Amino acid sequence: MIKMENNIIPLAFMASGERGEIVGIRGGQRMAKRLYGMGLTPNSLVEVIVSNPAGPILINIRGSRVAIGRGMAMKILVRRL
Amino acid sequence: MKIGYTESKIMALYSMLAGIAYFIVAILEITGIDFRYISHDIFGGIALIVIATIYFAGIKETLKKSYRGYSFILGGIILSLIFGVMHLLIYIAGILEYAMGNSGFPFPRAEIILAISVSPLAYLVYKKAV
Amino acid sequence: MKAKVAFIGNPNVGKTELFNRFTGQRQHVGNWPGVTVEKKVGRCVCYGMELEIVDLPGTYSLTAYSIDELIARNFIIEEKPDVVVDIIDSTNLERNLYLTLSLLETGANVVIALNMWDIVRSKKIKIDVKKLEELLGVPVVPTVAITGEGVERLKEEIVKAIKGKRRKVEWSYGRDVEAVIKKLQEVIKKENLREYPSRWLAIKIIEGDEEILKKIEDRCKDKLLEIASQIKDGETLMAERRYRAIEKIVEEVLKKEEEWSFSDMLDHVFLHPVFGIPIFLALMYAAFQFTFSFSAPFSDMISMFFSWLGELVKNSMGNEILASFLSDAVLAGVGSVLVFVPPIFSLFFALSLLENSGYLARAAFVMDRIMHRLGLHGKSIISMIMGFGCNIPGILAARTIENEKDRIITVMINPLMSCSARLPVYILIASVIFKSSAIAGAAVFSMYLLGIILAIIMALMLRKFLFKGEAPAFLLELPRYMFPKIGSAIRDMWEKGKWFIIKAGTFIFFVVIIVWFLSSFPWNATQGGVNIENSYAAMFGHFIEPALKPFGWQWQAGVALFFGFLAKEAIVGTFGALAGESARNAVATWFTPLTGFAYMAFVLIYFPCVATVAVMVREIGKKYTLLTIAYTVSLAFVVAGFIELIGYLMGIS
Repeated sequence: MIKMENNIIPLAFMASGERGEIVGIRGGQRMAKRLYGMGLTPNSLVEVIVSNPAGPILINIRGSRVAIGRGMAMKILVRRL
Repeated sequence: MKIGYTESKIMALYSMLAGIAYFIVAILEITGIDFRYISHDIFGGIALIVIATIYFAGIKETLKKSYRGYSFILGGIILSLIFGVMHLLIYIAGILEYAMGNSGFPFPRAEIILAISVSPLAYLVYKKAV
Repeated sequence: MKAKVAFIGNPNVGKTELFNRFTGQRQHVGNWPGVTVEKKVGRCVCYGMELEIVDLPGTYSLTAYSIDELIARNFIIEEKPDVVVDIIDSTNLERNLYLTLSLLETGANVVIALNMWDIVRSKKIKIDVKKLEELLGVPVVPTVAITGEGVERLKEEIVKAIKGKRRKVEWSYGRDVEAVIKKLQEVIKKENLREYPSRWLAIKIIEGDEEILKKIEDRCKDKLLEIASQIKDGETLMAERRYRAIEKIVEEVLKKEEEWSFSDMLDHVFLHPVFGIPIFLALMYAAFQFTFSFSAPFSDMISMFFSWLGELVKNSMGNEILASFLSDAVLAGVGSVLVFVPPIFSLFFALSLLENSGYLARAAFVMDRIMHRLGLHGKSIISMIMGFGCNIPGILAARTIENEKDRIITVMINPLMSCSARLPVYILIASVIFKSSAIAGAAVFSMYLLGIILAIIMALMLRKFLFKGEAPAFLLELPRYMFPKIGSAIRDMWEKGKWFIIKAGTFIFFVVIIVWFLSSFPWNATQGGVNIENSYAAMFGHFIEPALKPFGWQWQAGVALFFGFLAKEAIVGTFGALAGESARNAVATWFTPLTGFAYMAFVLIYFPCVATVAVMVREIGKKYTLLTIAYTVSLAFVVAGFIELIGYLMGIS
């Protein structure tokens, strides 16, 4: 169980232009490993570029644009900066 | 991107005309007329219908001055240009064929003309967006 | 009269301020039982009612993943407050509505406070409150907690809600999901699981909510899970569907401006849920149209050149054997293959433009949903598209697929993507057996289509029988959109295309020489290659003829297939060498429309060329490569036979 502090939210809830720091990934180990592979590791900085509801979320992570399905973005926890 | 209300109206109108033009050509291409600028090309026609729909989709949102609308127009223009340039190259190839004596002098396809006619709109959007 | 009210909302929406507005000094802070989470309770007298207000922890959703969410959700489900006030940050409508929708699912009696209304006003954001009320089916009150604006009206609405009925609006989460929900609800009602609202329970089961599953452990949990298992990865799916509903709501209710960059605008169209795929198909069509139409004059030029050269050589050489060798073998054979350099280069050029512009990654994304249903990955589409140029780069492109099973399936079906080497065969045969060029064109196109269809079928079968599936999720890097540099596109084209020329210069050259030799010797018997029936090639051809007889293919076609093992381009080269100058006329006598078409299909399917096999062994190992060879060869016979059967039944010959 992850205690939700006030400004830790799933990536899916961040709006365009917001920045954050990845805190953790909830869900399976497998998913976490894949995401680490794409650069979404704990403590890495992420910026949301485009986030239209129901569409994929485009983020900027380590300088690259990555599109993440919304469902998956619900499992990535970010501390808002 | 700051767009005035009148400019939005002009873009929306242009977009509608472009949509209609592409739609008409698309229908002609699908129904199999082989006349001058139109060739019988079902899949080509379908592709043009896709372009037409994109232009139509942009009308309402552009009037509302939203980025959604502009992006449809932008997308439509890019597709228009891609098809236009492609057919232009094919046209040139056709001229080569003619030069070798293998076929008659080709007619430029409608897509080329359509692409040329949306270029003012492209210029407008380019100035505003980039 | 007394009533229990709960306040819920995202963190930092002003819930605390609002709570204070209602309860003033009459609040009491403690802990939720068994945990260290703060519990705030207060009292308020409004319009003749005494309200006990509980301030639930701030949460973004009502899942089972964190203590805060569990507390909030259990309070609503078990304690059943008379009203739940959902406090929303109106400057962040989209995000806040996720909790709202989750809340409405529980069937609670909801009143919404649209807080931070002053900021909405100052930012000139337009929210249609009436429309929001209509769409959600609950009262919505704009408030400014820090000044107290709207609080009186909120109190009114709360009291009204306690007393009266509120309109229930249920948002559809999609026909497929709703159908499963309905089935679950039937079972739930039958089993008398009345402690939980049935719709909410059904949704939790679909999501595989751990807490709930624990709680209904001994209440036909298995049966319910079985019904719910129709939906794979329900948690992700429900989240997506909620967002889809939110998108629709927000579209009607919110008018707000955002700055979009050029790439964002393009992505909005190219990744659009409706337009994305049609655009992809249109661009694919454009790539192929360009390939065939643009390259035509160049092919003709090459063809004319080789014919002229062939004549020249024949007429100026004394030695008959040498003349024949040079003219019939080398020039005719190799020339017949080089004629196809223009279309192949054009195809690689077009593909390279798509790749360099950044579009190809979008294509993968857009096609991911469909690919997923076929048991493949979005990135598989890139591999498949490249396979149309040559199977080898296509197979190498599959390296980007992380999931091993997805990758192996993608590689195994790649040979069905009609590579450019097979194109010469199609064009040659189709143009000879079909009088109308439109039909010939359609026949060639149908080969590509056939390859795709078979690839889909094989992918599904492989997924079902060999690799039990998992659901890959979307995760893809999108490169920036760039105007593709013509220079690098040309370079790319050359890099990939030159292999074709090299193969022509080496492999095919040798094959052609061998074929020439076999078809021209014994020299006297064949009178310099004219009477092919007497040559070694014919002997070999007749030897394997039995396998081809049922299909009505001539021995020459068989010989060509044999050499096609080495490289598919060799098929045309072989035809060229066997037939001599008038390749087209000779070929016309070897096939009828039906047998020719079946032959084309056979060539499409039958065996990846040696080079491809070598790469496959390196990429997926011997076992799967052998499996690929096995299925392609058998499938080829089956499909060709099937085509001929259908044709025969239809009375075509």
